[in-house]
Amino acid sequence: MAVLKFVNSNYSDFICSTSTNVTGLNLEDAVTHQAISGQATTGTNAFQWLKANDSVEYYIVLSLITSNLTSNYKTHTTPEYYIKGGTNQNYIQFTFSARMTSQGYYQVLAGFFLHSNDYPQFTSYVYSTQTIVFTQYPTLSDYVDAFESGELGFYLWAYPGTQTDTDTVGLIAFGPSSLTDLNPNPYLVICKYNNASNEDNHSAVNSIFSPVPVTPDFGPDSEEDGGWGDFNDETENIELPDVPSISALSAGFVNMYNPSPAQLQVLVNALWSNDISQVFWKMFTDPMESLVSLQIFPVAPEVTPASVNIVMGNVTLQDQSTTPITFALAPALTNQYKIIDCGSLQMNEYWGSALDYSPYTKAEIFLPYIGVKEIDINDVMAATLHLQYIVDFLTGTCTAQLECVKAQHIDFSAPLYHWQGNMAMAVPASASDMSQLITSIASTLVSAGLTVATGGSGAAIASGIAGGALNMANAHPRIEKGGTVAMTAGALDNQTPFIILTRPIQSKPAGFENYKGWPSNITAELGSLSGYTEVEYVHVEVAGATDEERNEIERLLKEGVII
Amino acid sequence: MASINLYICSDENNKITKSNLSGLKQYTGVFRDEINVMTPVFQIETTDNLSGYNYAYIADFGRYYFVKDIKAVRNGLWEFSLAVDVLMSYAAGILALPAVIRRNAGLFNMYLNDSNYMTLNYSRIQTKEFPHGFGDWNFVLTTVGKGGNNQGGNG
Repeated sequence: MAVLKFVNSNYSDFICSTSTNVTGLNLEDAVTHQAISGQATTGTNAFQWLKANDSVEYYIVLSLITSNLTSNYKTHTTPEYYIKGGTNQNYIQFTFSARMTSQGYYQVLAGFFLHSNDYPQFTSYVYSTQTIVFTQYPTLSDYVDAFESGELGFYLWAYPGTQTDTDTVGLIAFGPSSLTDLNPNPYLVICKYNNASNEDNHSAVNSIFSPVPVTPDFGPDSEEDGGWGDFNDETENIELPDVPSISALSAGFVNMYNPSPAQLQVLVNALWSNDISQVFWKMFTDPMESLVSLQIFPVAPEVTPASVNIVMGNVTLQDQSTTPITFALAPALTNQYKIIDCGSLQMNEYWGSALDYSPYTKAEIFLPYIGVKEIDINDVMAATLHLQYIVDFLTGTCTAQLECVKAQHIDFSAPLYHWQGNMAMAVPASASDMSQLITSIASTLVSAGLTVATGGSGAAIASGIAGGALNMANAHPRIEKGGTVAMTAGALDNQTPFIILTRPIQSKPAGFENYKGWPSNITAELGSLSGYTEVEYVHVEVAGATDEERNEIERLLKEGVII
Repeated sequence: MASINLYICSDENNKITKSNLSGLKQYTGVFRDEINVMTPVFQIETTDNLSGYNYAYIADFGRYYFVKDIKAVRNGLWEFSLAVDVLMSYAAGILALPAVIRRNAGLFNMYLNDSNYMTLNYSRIQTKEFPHGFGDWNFVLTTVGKGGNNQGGNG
């Protein structure tokens, strides 16, 4: 069931679940109507129309006015704009805004049509995904005649999505028929308009009032070469990556731990024990050679619930200087990688115009441990940005993926941007260059062995070995600082990613549209327009005009005229 | 017998339908000499002060005209130089023309790029922070050796 609900207004909800014909409109499908007065006709109290269904909500702002042009109506355009149309001239204006708050998007066809001879006649329309300000002047004589005969009406309509969209459509009509009485309680009419069941979009409503979609021209109808692409703009949504299913931990050679500072202290004590037996023992199995790295990360790895023994080489480290002996323990990493979800940001248009896009607006992103990167504003504007990092705790490498989910102008979702950096701060771990000592040990052992083999005494052997051990114990191994001494610069920088938008500040003279208009690029009959108008292309087929006059008309239309 | 309507027009020259016409003065007479329909020049003898009139309609020609020049030839004799206003003269035909509209005050698409957008030379900087970041500092010790800590997960 579609529920059309006014919010922030005193109008009752419009529930289009039952069929109700409105006198004079004869709409076949579910229709409801509401006489409007006061609030809507003041012009400053536009009300919201909330359409709610199962998963999608549309917020639609609609205002409509029937009033005298001399009234000091202030809204999106200056009152002078209307006054120029003449005194006591009546007009209708719709302001229509559609915003999507969740999925999908809403394209609006808004316009005016009148019907005579049981067929709608379009005079203008607006195709937009944003806000439409639509003004119509019922001043042409044929319209006035038709109004007086009670045959015509003004209507605003809107379609969601594309023409093939199967969602429910709200039809808004203003009328119902006569505009000769300009102090009416005009009717706002809303009906459900479902075009899913029939290709004929007219099926849901009486054909007289059917808002036939007007499709903008998206491509040429040329008979020459070119322009015959398949226009297939299907896009497959790409998901963010997951972590690899295999890692160094899987191999079984690597141990990774997440020690606390206290646990690290136990480890240090174990590694630098003064116990002579430990020194002797370490000569043969140097645990420091098994130390790959000690790093600091700004994120917690996934670890085992309980601490485990720290193993280096084939040694389970223990601090024998304590009683009882303290084993070096720490939680073990259960995954070499981790995904960090930085969350999402909604990037909304500020101007609702080309100013929100390139080359006017620029966007950058600050990524901790990666830096400031430029991103294309056209990719991220009117989109939901989702950022995630994947961290490798073995190498410190981190990758960042920025997923752009667009639903306003196009429907698209993919991680468009990928960066990489390094998140690890290497902690200087002492490493002994024991190679010479090991060579010495080996030499001693070989010598001792030879002595044994040649019949030397056991005491001499023991003496030799003991002497070697003492020599080793008294030696001063050259201590090297391993790894990178400098801290990662990223650790000293901001730790939360953010977007930097550089927006232009528009300088718009009041009533600019009355002097220069806004870009249109729409084909229309000149009589359906109003205000300042510049023509790009026109065939001047005017009866009675001389060649010179036709050229003059074309020149003036291209330079700009006021209709 | 030719009929000439003189008006005081306050509309812009480029307005197709001039609606603010006032002070109508209607004169009839004959054109004695050859006259250019596009840029007619004629004299009117009247005691009226016609110095403020800037717009005209000549029914015989079916055209509206801008008054380009007025000369007071002598007392009571005014010479008018006109130029045809093609917009008003052919307003009905022009308004029926379909055309590709480049710019319009009410029918527009603001997402089209427009060289007429004027922006200030300084910009507005806006920052938007993601909800989550880093800063949960942890040590990670990596060793090689027997055992390993392949203790679950995908690790």
